Formats: sequence, C-alpha cells, structure tokens
Amino acid sequence: MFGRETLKKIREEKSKWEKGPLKLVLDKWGERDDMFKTLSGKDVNRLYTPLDIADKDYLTDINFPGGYPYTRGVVPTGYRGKLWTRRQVAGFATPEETNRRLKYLQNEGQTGINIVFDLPTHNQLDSDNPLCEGAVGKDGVPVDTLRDMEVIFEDIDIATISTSLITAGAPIFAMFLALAEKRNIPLNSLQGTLQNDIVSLFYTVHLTRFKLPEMFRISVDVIEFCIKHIPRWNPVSFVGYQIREKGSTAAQEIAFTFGSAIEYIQALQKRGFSVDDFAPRFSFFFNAHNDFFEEVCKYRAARRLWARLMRERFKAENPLSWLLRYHVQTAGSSLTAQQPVNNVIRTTIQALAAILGGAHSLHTNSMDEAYALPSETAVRTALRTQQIIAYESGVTATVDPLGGSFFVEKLTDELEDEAMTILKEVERQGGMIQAVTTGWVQKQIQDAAYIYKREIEGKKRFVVGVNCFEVEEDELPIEILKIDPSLEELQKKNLQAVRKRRDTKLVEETLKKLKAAAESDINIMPSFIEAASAYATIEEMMNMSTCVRCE
Amino acid sequence: MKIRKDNVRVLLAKPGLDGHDRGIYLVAQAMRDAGIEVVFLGLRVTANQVVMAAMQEDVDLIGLSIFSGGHTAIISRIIEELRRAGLDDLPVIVGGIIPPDDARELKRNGVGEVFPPGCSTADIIACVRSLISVTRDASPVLKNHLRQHQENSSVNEPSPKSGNASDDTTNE
Repeated sequence: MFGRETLKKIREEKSKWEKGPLKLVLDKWGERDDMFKTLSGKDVNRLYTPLDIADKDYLTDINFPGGYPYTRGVVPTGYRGKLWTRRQVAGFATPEETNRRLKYLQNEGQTGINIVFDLPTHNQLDSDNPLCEGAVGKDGVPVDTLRDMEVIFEDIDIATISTSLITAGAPIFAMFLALAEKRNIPLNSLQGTLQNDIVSLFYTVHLTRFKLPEMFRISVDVIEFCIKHIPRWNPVSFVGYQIREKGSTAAQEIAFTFGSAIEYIQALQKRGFSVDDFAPRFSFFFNAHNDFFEEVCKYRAARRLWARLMRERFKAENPLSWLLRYHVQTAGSSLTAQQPVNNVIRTTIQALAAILGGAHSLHTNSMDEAYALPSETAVRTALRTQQIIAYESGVTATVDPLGGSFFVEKLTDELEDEAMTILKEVERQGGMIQAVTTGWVQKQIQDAAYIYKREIEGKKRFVVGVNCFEVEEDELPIEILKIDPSLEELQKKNLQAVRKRRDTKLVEETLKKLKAAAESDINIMPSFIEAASAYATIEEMMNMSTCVRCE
Repeated sequence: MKIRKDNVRVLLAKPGLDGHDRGIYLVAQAMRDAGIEVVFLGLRVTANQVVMAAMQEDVDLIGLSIFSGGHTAIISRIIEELRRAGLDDLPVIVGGIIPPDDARELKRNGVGEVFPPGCSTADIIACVRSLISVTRDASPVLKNHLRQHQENSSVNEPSPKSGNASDDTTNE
C-alpha cells in the first residue's frame, strides 16, 4: 500500500525512534508489563506502522465497502443508509408474559423480534414432561403447541416485522408457519431468521436428545423448504456466539462457525442445489466480547474469509453469496455477578465493537443477567445503550471508521490467517460433524477456556469487581426478575386444555404422516406444518420425526 | 471408628436441562489440578442418579452446576433424596446463575455454599476442603454405612443435624 521508497524511509525512521526516544523512556520508566496480549492470547505490539501492512493491497485485500472481499462492510453506505436492527432477546414465564414484553419492547423502539425459548422447548419436550420440572418458562418462553405461538404473537403483525426464532427446532418453526397460514399471510412474504444450526448447538448447548445425523437432516430439510417456499427467510443462522460463550478464542469462533456452515453447504450441494441457490440466505450469529479491537477485527476478518471461501473455494457466482450477514450479541459470559451495574459499561464497549465491526443486528445484554433473566428496567437500559450509540455517539456517520488503522488491518489479517489454519485442521479431522463427534472441537475450546480462567485467577488478566477493585456487597443494588413458580402449573394446565380441545383424530393422522415422511426421503417440513396446525405438541412431533432415519 | 481416606473425592454433576457446561468443566479441571479426585457424572442427570453415584463412588462432597433457573426445585429434590438415603452429612455445593434470595433459601435447606458466576476456583476448592474437614474421619457415605450396621446391634442414636428440620423444604 506504500511505495518502496516510503517504506524504506519509515523503516529507517522507526529504527531511529527505537534507539532514541523509545529507548530513553523504556530505560527510565519501563512498561507496565512484559507482554501485552488480546483476550484470545494474541500478542499485541507496542506500535503498528505502515511496515506491518506493507504486503497488503488496498483493492484486493481491503477495498471499498460493498466490494469484494468486503473487509470494510457489505453495504456501501454503512449505517448512513440504514442503522442496524435493534433486536433484543425476549421470552420468559408464559406466552402471555412474553407477548406483553414484546409489545413493551416495540413501544420502546425495538425494530425486530427475537424470541428465546425455555429449556423444555429447546429440548423438544412438553411442559408437563417430568423431566421439565422447575424449568418451564425459566430461561425462555415455553411453547408446547400452536396455541402458545398464537398467544406470543397476539396483536403483533408478523407480516411486517422480521422475527428471529432462537431454536434449532423444526416443530417450533412449523408452528410459526402454521400461525402465518392461519392468518392468511403468504409464506413467501415472511421475513426473519431461524437459528437451526444444529451442528453448533449440538456441542455448545448440548441439544443432544436426538442423534446429530437425524437432527442435521431435519435441519437441512428446513433450509430446502425455505429455499423453495419462503425466499425472504434466513433458514439458518450459524452460531458462533455459543462457541465463544463456551470459552473459545476469537479465531476459533470464526473457524468453528464456518466449519458448521461448510457441512450445510456440502449437504445442500449433495441434494442438487448450487451454492448460489442458498448461500445468499445464510446468516450468522457472533459474540461481542471484551477485547475491543480483537472483536472489531474478528468481524472484519470473518467477512473477508467468508467472501474468499464462497467465491474461491465454493465457486459462488452471485455476489450475494459472498456476503457475510450477521447478528451480534454481547458476551453473556463477560457479565459479572459482582457490582452488576458495571455490566452496563462492559456491554457498551462490546456493543460499540460490534457496530464498528459492521454488525447488521444487535442484542445488548442487560446488567442483571449474571443473576436471572432481565427485568424490564434492565432490558430498557440495554436497548438504550444501542440507541445512544446509534443516535448520539457519531460513530455511524462514516463507513468502517477504524479501517486503515495499521493495528486494525494487521490484527484483521492475523485473525483471518489463524481462523483459516484452524478451519484446515477441522477439515483434516474429517469436517465439523466428525470433529464434534470425536470431541476434538470441544477439547480445543475447553483448553482455551481453562487458560483464560487461569489467567484471571493468576491475576494475569483483570476483571473489575472480580479480581480487582472488589467491594463487599450485602444487598444487590438492582432488582432481579422473579418468575412466579405457579406459572409452570398454568402452562401445564393450558397444554392439557389444548390436548382436550383439539381434534384427536386429526392429530393422530398428521403425526402418522409425519412419521411416514420421516421414514422416507421426502422433505419433512410440510408434514410438520400440518401436525402443528392440528395442535400436535412439540414432543409428539419430535418423537415422531426422529429415531428411524439415518441409522 | 476412624477410617481415613487419603484422597478427597468429589462428585460433580449438572442436573436440569441446560447445557452450559463451561463452568463445571473448569471446576473439574481445577479440582484435578489441586489433587482432588473428581467423579464427573455429566449433564442432565436426575436426582436419583446423583444419589446413586454418590453412594457407589463413596464421595466426600457433591458439586452441582445449574444455569437453568430451575435450581430451587431441582436442588431441593436432590437434598431431599440424599436425606432419604441417609446421607444428611454429605456436603453439597452449588454453582451457577442463582439470585441471592434463592441462594439464601438453598443454604437454609442444607446447601453448603452457593457460587455465583465469576467466583474463583481457588475459593471453591478452599470451600470443599473446609466442608470436608468437618466430616473428615471417614466419608459420609461410609459413615452412613457403618452407622446402619451399628444400628443393627445397638440402640439407635440420631446424629445431631445442623439446624434444619427435614420438612423444611421449598414451597414450590
């Protein structure tokens, strides 16, 4: 990027600076530490200069926003055109409570919906299954049948707002589609995202009630169905977030997320689709952790690596297939139980990194989440954090304002290289599914998590309020959301009422059809939707759709 | 009767439906590094599995990790089943996303200590050692076994409990 003469001169001057003023200061005062590292353990130099990015070519490696390889963003106007979608996760207690929270967030200026389900629902269990005792509605909304989906979206127009469903469950998606059909909304007008990345969720949050190959095939069926019938829907969102929460490094987060995406690409290609049929609708979900520059560079590196993979390796021709579009959530694992108000500051820095890295939509965590699901006050502050960045900070006025920083460009390069190296290792292990099955991936992440924890405990890393600047706190300075335990009983009663009310014969018929679809090679989604429309429960549907295939 | 064990044995388990296993793996590894023998029972275990494993493995303490929000019901059930199995003395510690009010309630119901996110593994290990030293002569499991055998031949003498009546369970 710089002429040979210029570089030579800079090199000479740098050497003079090192021997002159730098040496003087180092000799007299030294530095705070021998080594400076990013949160993921990458060495950080004292200073970055044009020499660090001398081998880069602006047009091929960085380029303009909206131009390959999209280092500076996929939209030419950045946030000058459209701000990111402010999409707070919501879902707790009951469908009724969740509906109320969604309306509250809409009134407060949220621009997208993001539903999180409780653990029974994630595990495809009915609320009255004994395994679910104490867990119903505790960390998400319980959904047993279409009835619950109807309640969640009461008076909310799913035809105009985009909805994200944080689940790998085809039955939940089927209930959402059944709701749309009931409201006479054409499927091809629906907008939103289904998480659906079972490969990542299998080992990060242990959605392991069914075998991975069974779940993987259903998940590919969902994508196929969306390609054909719901073209504006993102049928999968590859989950880097949970990988990072489990303790991975930034580069591992990129690599393992892409590793999962590659499994889906290959599976869809095997079904006869070309990469341009589906890649434009792939979306991603990344974490925003504490190390500001590492996070900014992670998004820039991921964007470039994805573009290069899609264009060069998978030969995608449609430029939309090259674009990395992603949602970001600030790091839940970075929140501290100690001095919880400090979490607002952490979340702000993380959110700013997400925005300066070019996120397309964002969830900011609430200060109280090291204790419970957020209270209304806490979730409003979290949303306000985004609004202050959007409307007050000025960072949205120009595209990729950190681009061109010697450090940012260098760290972007390093993260891309490291992610690529890990991705190659994944392939050597036989691909992501194989590497997860053998536990190789989990081991890599656990090791990274352990190193991080050791560094904090050895005070090589500082967490304010945890291993430095601690205070004695007798009473929590914030309110904590309490979920009334009687709501679990209410949810069970509502489910049992649906079981009584519904047309049992129709349910049985649709479940039989679902089983037949499961045993054959035809796409399972239409049968899921039929069963959902008949008010079959999530557990009934899931039990019927697995266990036979892929043995 | 004094029967000393040389090594400390801890049962770690993750009851409930959630899959947040980062914490329990870190604790397991730190305990092993500190020379504690860890029996890791895995995720989504039931109360019964915890009690059975505690007996079979003859452990000195049980550590439970739970992030699901369902801790009150789940932990109470485990404590209850431990009591029913005669393992009142077996210390139980809990870690996870647990609000302070719930933590106090768990401790009232017999949990030795509750660790929130961000606590240090050194603190956890120190707590394990102090809780165990109280009953260090023999493991609670072994003591219970011996007591039952003694009870067969002598007058039953109930051991004093630490303040909590066994009917003092949760209101869930």
